[in-house]
Amino acid sequence: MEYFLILSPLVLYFLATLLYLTRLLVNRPVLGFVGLRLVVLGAGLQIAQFAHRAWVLGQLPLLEFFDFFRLAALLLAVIFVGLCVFKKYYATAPLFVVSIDILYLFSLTYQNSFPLTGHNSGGAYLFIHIGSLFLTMVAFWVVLITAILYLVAENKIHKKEFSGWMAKLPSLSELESLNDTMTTLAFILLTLVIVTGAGYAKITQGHYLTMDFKQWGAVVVWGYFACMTNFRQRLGLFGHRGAVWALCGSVAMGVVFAAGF
Amino acid sequence: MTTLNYAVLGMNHKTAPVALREKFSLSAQAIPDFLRRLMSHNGLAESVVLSTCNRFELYTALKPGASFDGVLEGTLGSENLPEEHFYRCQDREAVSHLFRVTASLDSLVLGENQIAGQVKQAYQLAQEQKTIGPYLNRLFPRALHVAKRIKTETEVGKRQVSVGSVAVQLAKKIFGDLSKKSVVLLGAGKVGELVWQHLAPHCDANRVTVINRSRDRAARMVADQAVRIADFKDLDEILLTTDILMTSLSTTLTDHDAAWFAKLMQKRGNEPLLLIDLGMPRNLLPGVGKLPDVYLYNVDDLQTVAAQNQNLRQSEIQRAQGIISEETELFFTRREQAIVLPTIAGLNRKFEEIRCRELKKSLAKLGHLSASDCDAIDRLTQSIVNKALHDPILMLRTDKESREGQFLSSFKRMFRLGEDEDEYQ
Repeated sequence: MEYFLILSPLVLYFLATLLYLTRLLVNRPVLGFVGLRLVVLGAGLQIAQFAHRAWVLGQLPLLEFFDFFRLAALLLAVIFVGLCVFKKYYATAPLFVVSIDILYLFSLTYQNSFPLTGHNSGGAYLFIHIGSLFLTMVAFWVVLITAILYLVAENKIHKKEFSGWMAKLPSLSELESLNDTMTTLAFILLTLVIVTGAGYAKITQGHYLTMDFKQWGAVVVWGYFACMTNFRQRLGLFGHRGAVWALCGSVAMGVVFAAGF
Repeated sequence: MTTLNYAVLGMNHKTAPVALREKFSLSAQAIPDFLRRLMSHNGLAESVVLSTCNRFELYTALKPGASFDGVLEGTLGSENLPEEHFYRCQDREAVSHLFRVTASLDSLVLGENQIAGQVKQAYQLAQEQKTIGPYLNRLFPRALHVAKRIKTETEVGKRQVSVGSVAVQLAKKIFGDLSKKSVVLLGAGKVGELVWQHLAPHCDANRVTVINRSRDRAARMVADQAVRIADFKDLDEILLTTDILMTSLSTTLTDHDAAWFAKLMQKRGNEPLLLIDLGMPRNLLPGVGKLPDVYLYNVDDLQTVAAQNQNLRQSEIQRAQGIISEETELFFTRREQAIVLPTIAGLNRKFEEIRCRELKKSLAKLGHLSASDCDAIDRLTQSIVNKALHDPILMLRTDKESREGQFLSSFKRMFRLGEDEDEYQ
């Protein structure tokens, strides 16, 4: 029963992915229509499961990596549904649903707990660190998606292709604006992640900055995004160049994040 | 039971000139009176009038043997109807026509949204005037449903097929909202003027600059006081803050090559720049379009996109036609099935009465049976009746021949089912 509950949102997300990928090949809007509803259903099921665990069983989310990735998948699903409902970004679906699937699949792989209690807990630092890390990852994921979409759309415009999927993508300006917003948000959250991570390292290992790759890597990526967000005008990081920078930065962040495992 | 025929009498932008369409055009205030006068004709059982700037159509349910002859003349008080400008169709053709009109396949601008609202309004007006009954009440909601289905399932009307509208589509694909973007029109050629007519409604005149040798010609082209007119020597400076540059000169700007534009882009902080080259010979060198964030389209490019869209639109129209044929067929099948519904209901009612009567008699004699035994017998008799009636009912519903008048009346006589009420008799 437990596995059924865990896997049921994933099955719905998978079905939605299949429909959206088929939609890329076949011009049948009904596929997208059903796909979006499956994502909504999957997200609803996840929310119900988390609510049940919190209120009935008294277990807070984010206690395990397991929750971490599932919550990330849920948040990405909510962002995607929001973009579809309020901005009609239906064409962004393939990248979003595949990302949701990947995050959900990760949740099945890592099931070890965070040491939130006991001598290795690091007080409130670890809790805030994990919370902000989770949000940072989702924000960077959206940065990655919008950067890819920008480059794809730009390439299609250069090639004078306006049919199929391209015809439904948001304008370059809208994609760039969403990318900028999410980059700024991700940068602020990353700052919080680094500060709380350093505080946790001081308590548990005696130093703010250790020789841990993910700590150094995060600082380097932070510097990269600090340049990008603060010197955007001077460096001319708009349009194509801005999308490439955002793409490289979010991939680098992914590498640093993966090193944490 | 009397069966009415769906019929349409009308004219539109394809069959009649505007001068004639004007004569028949009715305002929303005039339609109620027109409908009342129309309904005084004996042949018409139900009517809806659709009057827009491009069409005048009369949708009716005609009584058997009735025709449109003299209907419009009598209603409008005119002597002769210009027959050559009117079209008439009946039954499947009429239903299919309404579906086409509502889905905007018959409109001047293919795929426009206004017509579905106008059809709905015409239907509501007829409802208020009580000039419609079961026939048109079934047809019009179905037409609105078909229009919605075509809009959702196809992309009719979503493809731009003129060079000007493709240019607008392209600009929107890059910048989204064009009202905050600055536009420069370099040269005031004929093609440029045509494209500008499409672009102008989307742009803010205060952000538009025209550069042309003849200032008078430039002023005539834009015909808007808010538009700024500048000299050619200011071009380089203006381009620093321009989003869309549309050129229609008769010479190539050889000094504005890729290297020059690369420097310009650097100065602009790589803000995207759309270049629409409508000149002949081409005003901008092809290498310019290879720069990142510079989107160069010439007339050929725009025409190619327009031609691709035209092909795609054709295939979408075919899909929409397929939906209309399918829905028309479905509409008539349901209508035919609806004819037998009273007979089926009567048959069920009659057998249920017999079952209840006989069951009551038998149970009265079997007083020793328990309540559960009585229930079992009740279920048994229900099951026998359902199974016995299954095949004849299925045949009535699905077999086309069995729904025809002669068979249906024989069937009713066979089971002594009463005649249905006919509100048009």
